[in-house]
Amino acid sequence: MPPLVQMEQITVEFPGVKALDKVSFTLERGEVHILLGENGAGKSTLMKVLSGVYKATAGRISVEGQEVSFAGTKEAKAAGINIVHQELNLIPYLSVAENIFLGREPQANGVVLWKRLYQEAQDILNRLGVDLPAKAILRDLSVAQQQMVEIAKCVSQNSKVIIFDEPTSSLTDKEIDALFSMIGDLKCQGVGIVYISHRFDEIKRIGDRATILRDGRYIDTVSVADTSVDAMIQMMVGRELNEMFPKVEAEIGEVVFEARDFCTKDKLSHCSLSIRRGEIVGLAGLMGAGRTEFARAIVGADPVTSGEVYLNGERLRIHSPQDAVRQGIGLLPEDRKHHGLVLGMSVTENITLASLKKTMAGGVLRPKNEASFAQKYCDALRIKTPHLKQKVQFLSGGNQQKVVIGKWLMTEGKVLIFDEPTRGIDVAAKAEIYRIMGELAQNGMAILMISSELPEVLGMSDRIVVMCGGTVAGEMGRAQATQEKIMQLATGGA
Amino acid sequence: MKKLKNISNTIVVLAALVVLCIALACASPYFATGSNLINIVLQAAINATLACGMTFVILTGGIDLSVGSIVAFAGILLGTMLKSGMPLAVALIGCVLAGGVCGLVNGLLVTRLNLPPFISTLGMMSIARGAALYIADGRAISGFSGKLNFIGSGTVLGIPVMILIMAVTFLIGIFILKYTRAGRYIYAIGGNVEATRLSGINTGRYTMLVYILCGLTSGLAAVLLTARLDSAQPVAGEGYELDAIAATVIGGTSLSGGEGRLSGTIIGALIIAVLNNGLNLLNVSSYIQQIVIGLVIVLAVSFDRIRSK
Amino acid sequence: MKFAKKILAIALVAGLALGTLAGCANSGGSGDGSAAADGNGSYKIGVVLKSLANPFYVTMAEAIEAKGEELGVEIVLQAPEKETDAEKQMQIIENLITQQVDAILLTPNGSTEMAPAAKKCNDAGIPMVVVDTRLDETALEENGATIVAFVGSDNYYGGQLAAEEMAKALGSGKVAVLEGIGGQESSINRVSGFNDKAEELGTLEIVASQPADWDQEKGYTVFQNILQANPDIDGLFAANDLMALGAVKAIEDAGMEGQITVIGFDATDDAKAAIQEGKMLGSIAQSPADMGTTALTTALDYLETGSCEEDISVDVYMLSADSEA
Repeated sequence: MPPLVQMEQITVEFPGVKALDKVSFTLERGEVHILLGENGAGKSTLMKVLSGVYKATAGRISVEGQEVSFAGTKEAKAAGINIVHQELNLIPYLSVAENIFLGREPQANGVVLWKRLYQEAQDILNRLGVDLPAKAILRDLSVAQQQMVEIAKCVSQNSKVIIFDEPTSSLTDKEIDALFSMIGDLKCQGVGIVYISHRFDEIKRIGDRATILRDGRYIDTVSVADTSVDAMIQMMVGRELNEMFPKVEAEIGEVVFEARDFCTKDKLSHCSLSIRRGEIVGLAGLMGAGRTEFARAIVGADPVTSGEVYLNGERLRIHSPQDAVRQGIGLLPEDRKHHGLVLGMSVTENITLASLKKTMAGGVLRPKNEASFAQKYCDALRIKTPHLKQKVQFLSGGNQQKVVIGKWLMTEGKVLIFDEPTRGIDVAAKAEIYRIMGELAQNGMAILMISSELPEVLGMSDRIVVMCGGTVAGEMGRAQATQEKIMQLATGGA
Repeated sequence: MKKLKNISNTIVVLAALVVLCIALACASPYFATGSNLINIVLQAAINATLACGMTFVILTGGIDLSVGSIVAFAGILLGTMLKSGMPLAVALIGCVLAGGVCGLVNGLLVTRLNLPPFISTLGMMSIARGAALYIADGRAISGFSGKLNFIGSGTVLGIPVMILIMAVTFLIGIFILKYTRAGRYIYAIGGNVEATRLSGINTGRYTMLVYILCGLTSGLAAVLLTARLDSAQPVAGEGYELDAIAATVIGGTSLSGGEGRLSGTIIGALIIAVLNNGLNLLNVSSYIQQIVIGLVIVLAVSFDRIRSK
Repeated sequence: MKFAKKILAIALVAGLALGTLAGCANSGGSGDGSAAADGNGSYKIGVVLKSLANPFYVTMAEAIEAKGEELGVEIVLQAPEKETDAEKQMQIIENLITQQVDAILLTPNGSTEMAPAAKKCNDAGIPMVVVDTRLDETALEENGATIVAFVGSDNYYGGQLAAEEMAKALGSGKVAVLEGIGGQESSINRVSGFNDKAEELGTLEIVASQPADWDQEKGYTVFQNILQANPDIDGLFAANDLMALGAVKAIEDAGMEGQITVIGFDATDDAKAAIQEGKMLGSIAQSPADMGTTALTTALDYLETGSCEEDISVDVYMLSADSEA
C-alpha cells in the first residue's frame, strides 16, 4: 500500500527567496507526524503546498499513490486534506454550527435544513468532547473555543489528512487534553495527522515520527520515541548558540528606563520593569502572557488603568505614541507589515516618517535631505534595496525590519522596544539584526527585546524578565538563565 | 505586462484623455474649437475643485459623501449673506469657511467618535441638505445685482476666473501633498494608519485635517456654482459627491488609500467633462452618457488592478 | 520620467487654456452669424428639457420632434437626469451654443439659475424661447439677459381651478397640498393659486402643505406622513400627477380608498387611468404637446421674421371622469 501522502523534492521559490529546497515528506495512515524547525525553516510553507495554498515550483505530490496537483485549497479539500490554521479562519457573526458547515450546509431544494445543521454540528462537538452549544455565536467564544470549532470543522469534512499548525498556543491544559484524545481517535480511524509545534513535551506525548527542516532544507526524519529532545534541537538549530548570537559586551550603566505598575482593563496587572544604559533586557513568556500588551501600554498605544514611565528618574507623561516618540521611546512592533511599515511607501519615506522635521528646511520638505538621511541609515544598517525609492513591500523580511530600525534610529531615541525582532526573517538577516542590537546597546541605548524564541532570549539578553498571565513572574541575570528556568516561570510552575 | 507596471497612473489617464480628445475631434467638427475647449474646462471646474478635496480624504482611506450637500448649504449661506448686504469679500470667505466647518464636524465624528467615514458623512449629507432647504425655505436665492459676475463669467487675461480658482486650488493641494509634513502623513495614514500612529504621529489630527480641507473645497465649489448660476439653490449639488469620487478614482487614486495624485484627479475630472461635452455634441442621450461614464470608471479601476497584479 | 510626466500634464492644461483664448477671440466675431439659417432654410433648434424622467416632458419632447420633422427642422434634444440639476442644463446650453444651433427652447430647472444661461445665448446671438417654467424677471435683468418669448400654461389659474373643483366636490372640508420642488415657479404658482382660491371660497381648510419634489416615491411617503398626522383629511391637491399617484398608493395602503378626494396636475396617462378607476377626482390638464409645438413655431416665427408674440398661454382645464366619457 502506498503512503497516504508522499511529497518528493518539493521546491518553492518566492521572488528572491528559496523558501523550500528539495524537501521530501511522507505521511502514513494513522500516524502523527511532527514537523520541526525554527521559525522560517519552511514548515508552514511545506504545509501550504500540501493544502493547495501555494504551488510548488518543482517536485511531486501524491495522495494514496495518485499524483496530484492542487490549483487551490478547494481541490486539496476535495482530496481530503484540511488545515487548522494558526490564524483562525472563522466568521465571527455566525453560529458555531454555521461555521462548521460553511459552504456545505445540508440542503433540500436550495433551502438550508437548520434543524439538521445544528443537530449534526452538535454531534460532532460532542464526539470531540467539546462542551459548546452549536448555536453559540462565534465572537462570544474564547480564542481556545474558537480553535476547537476550527478543528471540528476539519473533522466534519471527512478528512484523510489534518494539518495542525501550532494548535495549542492558546489552549489551556484541559483543552489540550481534549484535543489530544481527539487526535488519538482520529489516528484510530486511519487519519494522517501533521502536527507543527515547538513544544517538546507535546511532541513527546503524541508524536510518532518527526521530520526536521532547517532553512528550507530537509534534514532528517526520526522516530520521536527513539530520539532525545537535545538531538532534535541540535538538528533544528544546526549550529552552536554562540555562533548565532554574537553577543557584544556593552558597558552597562545606571537605570535609564523604568515602567512601573502597568495595569489594563483586561490583560495586564501590575507589570513593572527597568532597563539600564547599554542593557538588553529580554522579555520572555508564552503566547498570550501579555508581553506585547505591556510594550504597547508603555508607549501609549493602548489605554491603561495605571502605569508610570520614568526616563532618567524623571516621570514622563505618555498618553499616545506621539508622546512616547517625542520623549525618546520607540516600539518596533511584532507585526512588521501591519504595524511597523507603510508598505506602499518608499524606503526613504518609511525611514524619515517619524522624524520628518529633521529633513525640513524653510518650512517645507526637502526630498534631497530626506534621501541623504535615508542613505545614511541604509549604509549603516546595510539595507539591501535596489534604490531608495523602492516600495518597502518589495523588500525581504530582514531588510524590512532594518528599515523599521532605521526609522527609530533616526529619531535618536534612548529606549527601543523590539517586539519579536526576528520573526519571519531568514537566518543570515537574523544574525545581522542581533549585531545591530548589540551595537546599539554598546552605544548606550536601553533595549527591551520581546521574543518567543528561547535561544534568542538566552543568547541576546543581559537580563531576562519573564511574564505569565499578564503579570511579571520573575527575572534572572544572563549567567543564571536556562531554558528550564524560563519555562518554569512562563508556565506559572513553582 | 511587466513594462506596464513602470508607467505611472497619471501618464495612463493622461493618455486616455488625449486619445479621447482626438477621437471626439474626429467625430464632431465642433469639439476641437477654442470656445468648446474652454467650455470643457469650465464645466470641469466645479467637479475638479470638489475632487481636489475628495482626493485628500480618499488618500487617507476615507470617503466624503457630504460634499454635494455642503455645496448647497454653503451656497445658500453665501446667497443669504449677500442678500443681507454683507460685503462681498466677507460673504465669500464666510461661504468657504462654512464648508470648512461642515468638514470639521465630519472630521470630529470620524476621529473622536470613531464613526466610519461613510456613516458620518452620510449623516452630514442629510444634515447639510436639510439645513440648506430650511434656511432657504426651499427656494432659490438670487438677485445679487451682479456681485458674483466676475467669478461666474469674468476673465483674467482671457482665462475664465472659475478656471483660475480651480487651478490655484490644485496648486495649493499639490504643494500640501508634496512639500509639507501633513501631506506625507496623509499618504502614510492611508497606507497604514497603525504604523503611522506608532511612529509618533497624531493620526487623528491629520485625519481631521483632510475632512476640513474637503469641506473648504466644497465651500469653494459652492462659490463657483452660485456665481455660475447667479443664484443659490438648496437642491444644488445633488450627486456631486459621486462625480467627485469618480474623478478621483479615474485619476488613479486608490479607494483604499495611500496611493494617488492630484494631477491624476484633475485629469479624471477633465475626462468626465470631455465625455459629457463630447457626447452632448454628438447628440447622444444623457442616459447613455451615464452609462459611458460608468464604463470608464470600471475600465479605469480594472486597468489599475490588472497592472498592479 | 517623472518630470516628463509633469510637463505633459502642464502642456495639456496649457493647451486647453490657450484654446480658450482663441475661442474667446472667435466667439465675438461669429456671434450674429450663427443665427442665420444655413443654406436652404433648414434650421437646427436646440431643445433643453427639465429631465426625461417625467412623462410630461417626454410627451413634450415627442411632440416637438414630430413637429420638427413635419417642418423639416433639425431638433437637438438634451436633458439632465434630474429636474433639480440647473448646472447640467447650463452645460448643455453651452454645448448647444458650441454646436451653433439657431435657437434654443428651454424648460428651466430653476427660474433664477438659468438667467446666466440666457445671457450666454444672447452673447452668442441665439434666441431663447422659455417653455413651461418662467425665468425670473429680476434675475434676467441683473444678468442683462433677454428672452424672445415665454410659452406656458397658466399655472396660477390651474391652481385656482383645482380649488374650485375641490370645493364643488367636498362642499367643505380639510385638505392637504403636495408641493413641487421648492422655489420652482410652476410649483409656487399652482400652490398659491390653490391657496388663494381656497381662502376666497372659505370652505376649504388647508391643514398641511409639504413639498414632495414632483416625485412619486416622495409623494407616497410624504402623504403617508401627512395621513399619520391628519387622519381626518377630506381632500388632497398635488401640484403634479406623479405626487398625486404616490399619494393614491398611500391612501390605498392605509385602507382609506374613497375617503379622500385627490386632484392632480398635468393629466398624465397614468393619472387618466386613475381617474377612470375613480381613485382620483381629476387632474388639471396642461397640454405639454401643445406647449412644445407652440414653442417651436414661435421660435421659427422669430427666426423668419425677427419678432414674435412674447407671452403665450396654453390653456388648462380640469380633466375628470365625466369629461373623459
